Amino acid sequence: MTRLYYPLSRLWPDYLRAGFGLAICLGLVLFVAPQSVIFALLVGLSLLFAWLGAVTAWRQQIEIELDASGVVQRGWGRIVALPWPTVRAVSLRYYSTRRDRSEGWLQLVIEAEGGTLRVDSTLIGFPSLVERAFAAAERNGVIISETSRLNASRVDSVKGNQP
Amino acid sequence: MLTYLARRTLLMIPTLLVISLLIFLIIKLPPGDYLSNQIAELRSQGETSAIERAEFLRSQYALDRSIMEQYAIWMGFIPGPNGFSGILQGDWGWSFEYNRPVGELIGDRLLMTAIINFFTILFIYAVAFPIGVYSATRQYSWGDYGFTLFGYIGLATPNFLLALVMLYYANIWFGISVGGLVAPELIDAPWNWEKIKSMMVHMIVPVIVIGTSGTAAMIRRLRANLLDELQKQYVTTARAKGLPPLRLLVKYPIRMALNPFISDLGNLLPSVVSGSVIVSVVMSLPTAGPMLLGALQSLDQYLAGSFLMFLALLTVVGMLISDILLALLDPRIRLTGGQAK
Repeated sequence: MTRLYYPLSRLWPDYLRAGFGLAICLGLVLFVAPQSVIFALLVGLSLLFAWLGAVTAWRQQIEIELDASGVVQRGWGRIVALPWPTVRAVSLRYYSTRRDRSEGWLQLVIEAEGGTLRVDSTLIGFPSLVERAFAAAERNGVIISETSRLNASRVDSVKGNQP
Repeated sequence: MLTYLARRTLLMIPTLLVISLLIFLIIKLPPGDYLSNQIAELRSQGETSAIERAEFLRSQYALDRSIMEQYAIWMGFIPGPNGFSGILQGDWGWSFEYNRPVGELIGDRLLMTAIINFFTILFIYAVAFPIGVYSATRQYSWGDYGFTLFGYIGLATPNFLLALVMLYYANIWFGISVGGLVAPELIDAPWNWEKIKSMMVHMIVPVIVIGTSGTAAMIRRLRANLLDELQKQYVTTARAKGLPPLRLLVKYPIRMALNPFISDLGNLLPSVVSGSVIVSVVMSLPTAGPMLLGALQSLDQYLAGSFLMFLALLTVVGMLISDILLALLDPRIRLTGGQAK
């Protein structure tokens, strides 16, 4: 059994982003009249950054166990267990906030009988999870998009991605 | 996707704040301001009541304070004198030249600018897409050469010249009045079907004139991208496996070649607005361009600043929309020299 987790060293940039975004938006909210459109916009953005902070905190405490029978995610009292034979969809998408699309991250989504698992490539052991999920999808006859296949073949090239 | 949205939006907020600071500093760079020029002129004529009014406006809009204080007041970070609350509160300030609130002045013009730009972008996409696809799939045919010639003419012809030629022929052949966005007799009339019809007819020439260079550039880019895609191995493989040509074209190469259509949206919005300034002057269009030009010439700082902030907002929001659409349309890793791109 392999244990996968998000190390704090890879999560703190997201904490910083969430904190910085919240500070700017809530700071600007102080100057804006509550009836204005800008106020509503800033409150919406504050919620978005608060959500980013919450997701990062969730990632920090989850633990993923990977073995030959399936993958299990535990965190905040919630368990998502996906047996490999029940995998019905797998996708691997790449996101980057840079115009030249460098320094981005991958997001793996696995759908199976036990629910849906969504993990980012900052997870320690991400390539092995991708490998197992794609192998399970192949075995189950799941159609995988060309984009996901291409991204899977390039998992190791994503900066900061470690096995 | 929400993580992506949060990260991408975070880049947008400081960008807009820095842009607002740069806009304000650049507007304030020339020595003096609109009111000091007016005061000097009125002093030379000895008009004391007008001088008093100018001095009142100077203190009301804090023009007698330091530049950073003025910026903070303009943005609405600190309260301005006499109830001036700043753009964060929706108070765009006062136009000294027109002697009216900026919000009142720019409202109609921004609406007209938005309508013309919307139709111009539609025109660019509607014309460039079929021609670009045709040129790429029929490379070196007579049609391709013809459209290439059209493209180069579109890129090389100055918009104001095209505007003059088209205005002349639109008037001679179709009887459309020269200049303006509605017939002269309908300018002050309330909005009704006849006025909307007149506006749609008058919009044809400006939309074609403003859109021609963008269309030509888009055709060239789409053609080049699609040609690149058509020469890739997966297309050869699909052909060898007997996939019908149209299905093959629509399913993969066109989808990949569409990227510039989406990624250019961010650049297209502001370039269409700023690129139409001279055309709007030539064609007497009631859009934002001519007023922005006048405001910059007369150092009408709040009016110029509001327009420039609007352009900046268009650019930043356009980039955000195009990045989100690109992330949805093309979530592939790009490789350059063995590194993820």
